[in-house]
Amino acid sequence: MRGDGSAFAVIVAGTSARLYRLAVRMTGDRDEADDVLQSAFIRAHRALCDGGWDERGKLETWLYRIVVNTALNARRQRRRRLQLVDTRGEAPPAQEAQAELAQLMALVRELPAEQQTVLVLKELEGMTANEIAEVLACSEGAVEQRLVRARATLRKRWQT
Amino acid sequence: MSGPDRIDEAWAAWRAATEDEAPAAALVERITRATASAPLASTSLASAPLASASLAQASLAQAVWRLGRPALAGLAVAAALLLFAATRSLDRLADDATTAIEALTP
Repeated sequence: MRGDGSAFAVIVAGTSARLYRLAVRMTGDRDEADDVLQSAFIRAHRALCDGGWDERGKLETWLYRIVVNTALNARRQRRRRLQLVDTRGEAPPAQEAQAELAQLMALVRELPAEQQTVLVLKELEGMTANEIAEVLACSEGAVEQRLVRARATLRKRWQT
Repeated sequence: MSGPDRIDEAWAAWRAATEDEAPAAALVERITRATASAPLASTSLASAPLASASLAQASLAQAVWRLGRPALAGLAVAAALLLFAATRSLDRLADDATTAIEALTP
């Protein structure tokens, strides 16, 4: 049986808010999140058209994985662009809490991609290690290990 | 406040600052239009379990998908009935022929 575009439209309507929030948290930029969300849904649609989804897993988990991978690709491309234009980043916010938030965001972005991803999924999306392992298609142990390393790095670099 | 506590506070602030992020309606519309043309090849989208029970709308997508199934099942039943009817007709023809032959046979 073949589905149709309207079924996918309902999927978009039902998941776009959560996936967009994840994209914003992964990229830290709304414009980039727009691009990530659009690219992710188009990739997902193409995969469904081609039978690329193995249909054994959970649909939302699979969509999360696509958004994470698309955001990481965007991050790699942005780093290349930043190297070209030598951007120094934004000015620090005045208030202390905002300054700490900006500091955390900057530190998280400096982490290796795999550590950044598990932190965002754990601390911002509130996922369990098991759920993160499903999204990233890795073991729960690997998730825990990345979390430990990422948190240790954050604590070391955090300046009060 | 200690360093780890401040980090936790910063995480909470990050969560709160991004909690209400939502895509613009125009973006969702653009994605929907871009993906509306081609049919999906997936065969069991309806049975795919979702990660979150709160994802009611995505469940609706599965329900939409399921709508196609009764139609397909109906077609299969109709085909089976036609085949059955055709087989029965052939049987009857054979029976009639046998009866006729028997009647003609002295």
